Amino acid sequence: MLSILTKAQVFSLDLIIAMLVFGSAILIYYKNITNLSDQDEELLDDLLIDVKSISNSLVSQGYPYNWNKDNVVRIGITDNNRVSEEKLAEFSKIPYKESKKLLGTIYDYYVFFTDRNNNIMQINSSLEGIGKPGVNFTNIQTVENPKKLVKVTRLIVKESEIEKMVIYLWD
Amino acid sequence: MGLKKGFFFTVDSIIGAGIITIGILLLYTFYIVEPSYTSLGYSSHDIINALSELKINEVNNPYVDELISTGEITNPENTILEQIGEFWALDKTDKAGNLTKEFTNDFIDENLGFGFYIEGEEIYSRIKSNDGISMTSKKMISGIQRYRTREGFTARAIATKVTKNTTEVFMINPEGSSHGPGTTADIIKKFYINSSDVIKATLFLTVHWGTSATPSNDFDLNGVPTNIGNPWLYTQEKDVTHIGFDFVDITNDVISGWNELKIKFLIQSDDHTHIHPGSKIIVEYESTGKFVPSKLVEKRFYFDNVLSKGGNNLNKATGAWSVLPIFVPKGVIIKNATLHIVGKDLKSFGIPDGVPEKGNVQLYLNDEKIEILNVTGTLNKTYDIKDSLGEGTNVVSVYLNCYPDYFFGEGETLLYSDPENDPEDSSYVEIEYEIIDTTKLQYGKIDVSLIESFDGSMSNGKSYTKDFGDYDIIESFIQVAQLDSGIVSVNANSQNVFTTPRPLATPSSIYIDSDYLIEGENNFDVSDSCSDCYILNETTLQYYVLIPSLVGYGQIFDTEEDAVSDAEERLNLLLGDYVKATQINKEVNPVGGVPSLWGPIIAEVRVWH
Repeated sequence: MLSILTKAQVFSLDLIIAMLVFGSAILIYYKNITNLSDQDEELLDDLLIDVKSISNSLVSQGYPYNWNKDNVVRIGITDNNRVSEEKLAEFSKIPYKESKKLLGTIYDYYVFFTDRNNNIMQINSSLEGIGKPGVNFTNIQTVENPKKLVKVTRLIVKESEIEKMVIYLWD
Repeated sequence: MGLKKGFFFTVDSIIGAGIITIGILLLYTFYIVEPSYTSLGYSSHDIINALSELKINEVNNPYVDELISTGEITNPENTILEQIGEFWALDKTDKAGNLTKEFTNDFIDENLGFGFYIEGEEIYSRIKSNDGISMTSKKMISGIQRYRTREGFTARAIATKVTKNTTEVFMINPEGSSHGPGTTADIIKKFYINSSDVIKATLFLTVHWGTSATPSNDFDLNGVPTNIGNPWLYTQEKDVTHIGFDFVDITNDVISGWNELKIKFLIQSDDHTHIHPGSKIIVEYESTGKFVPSKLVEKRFYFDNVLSKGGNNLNKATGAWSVLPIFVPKGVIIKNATLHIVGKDLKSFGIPDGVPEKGNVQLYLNDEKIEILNVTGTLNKTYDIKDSLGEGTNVVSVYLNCYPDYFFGEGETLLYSDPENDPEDSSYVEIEYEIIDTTKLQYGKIDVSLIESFDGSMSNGKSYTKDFGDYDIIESFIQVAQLDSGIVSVNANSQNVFTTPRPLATPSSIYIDSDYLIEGENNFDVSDSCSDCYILNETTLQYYVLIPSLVGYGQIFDTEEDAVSDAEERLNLLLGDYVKATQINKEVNPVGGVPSLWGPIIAEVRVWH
């Protein structure tokens, strides 16, 4: 009788502790997964605001309209609603830190183009995209280990084709 | 024993919970959030902008290639958006939908739903559940009204054979002469009329003779006496000599082919008798054929044959002189330019002291010497004058045994020219040039030469205004008519095109390049430096116009007859009064399913979550 009572008590305690531990784990997981912390939400909001601003700037003509890396005030890579290869080349020549200032962000960015099937469209034979040195579209997470990473895709006419301009921004 | 077992299980659970917690923390460490921000506004705005930017003829797309090869796409200049609209207007909604899908489906995030609409009608859509949030972007495009197509006929007309009334001016340039009572000068002008249908021919002459009020000159054309200067229309007395101007109808005297005008001057008293500016033969005739432009142009102008008789003594000395223009248009490269001069029976009594250059043969281009030489017997020389020519009207002056008003020829003096029978050994100027201004090479048009007289009465200076309307003018000339003549200036739209380069060197015709002409009213001004050297109202403006010989497809008519009639009417209106189409090639084109153009339509892209 005693041994039966003792076994029953031990089983209840195990269950209660296990449920508490499991519940805590679920709560922590949920909290992490959904980024519900106020700090995370602020960061994400900042990134989204900046990435929209950057994308709007890039699809514009920029200023002055025929800017180059030495006189640029606002970076825009289009002429007559099409990507200007000249402006794209000038953009790639702007030092990264300076380009961040011109794009109005403190975060790191990387811009590249893809076709309709999401294949990378090189900017030129030696340049896949423009942005933080050492980064490419496959290694941002492993190299940068970002706290937060956002992406925006714009459609744009480039060399007689519609292409996707993808912008990554992270902290 | 049972209590010990219970504690053992509790420790197990704590260890297990610890492992799970560490696992979760490790998972957190490696977890990165990557929200893909896909704005509905961006998607709809970007895609409609791209469709309105890309043109059919620049995209590399198999479906578009197929539509072009099958004739479904007829205007490669359309943008993708316009082509979708055109398919919609032609009720080819399946093709509109396929084309839309081709250029949208892969570009809009697969998690989004979207649709393409024209005037609210769905052309293509990708259905996804709609959470109530959607964005729309619209573009206005030129529309083709649906269900408003029609069938009919349109026609064009080409004048394959034409007759035209054109006018040709044969120059009689200043020339002469004999000096001293009883001497004579016989001038023979030969000119070729390339038509058997002469509408009208007129001879104009200005003659400067001696002190007698009544000249003793004879004129005949093709052997028929010509009643010109009887009496003179205008006369002028100048330093006791006389000048007369007159014109006479010679329509019945000219013939098809070579014509010969003989002018016989008989000197009654002092001074020499010669031709002044204003002398010319104007022939209006009917001809056939279109303008055949040539990049390489070769023109030869012959001197008239001038035979001066007398020369028994210095008081009856002979001399033959003449001027001849060479016209150099703008926008050409001169390949060759030559003066070939043949003088016969040359012998002088000696060059008078008053003659600045001591030669009985004096040749000038404008005011530059070509050569001064002394010749007895025959002169037969060719000069390369290419490098001395300027743009516009250049004048060659030839003086044999004379330098007016000095005459010093012993016996007869002949400036020889017979373009009909002896063209190569005649006196002439010749120019060959290449047209490099390709705007002057116009094909498939009909060239017509027209001529108009200045109006009003004689004055110094004199102006004429002409609006050429829609005509293409390839070149024009002014034929200055005067009694006495000094240094003449001709301006076209305030730009000087000619000034007499030396005494007696105002040619019968002065060239005005089409570059000097403007749209609207053109002003031509002629004046003389000598105050009583009047410009007569018989001064003429001659211009060559090019008239198109075809009209393109016009409006669509319900019947072939109406379409052809319209094309013929448009062609005849275009040809005007100067050209008559004697053979017209008409082409009728049946037209079906022609969309009616109308105002803009709205294309719309909607994107939703």
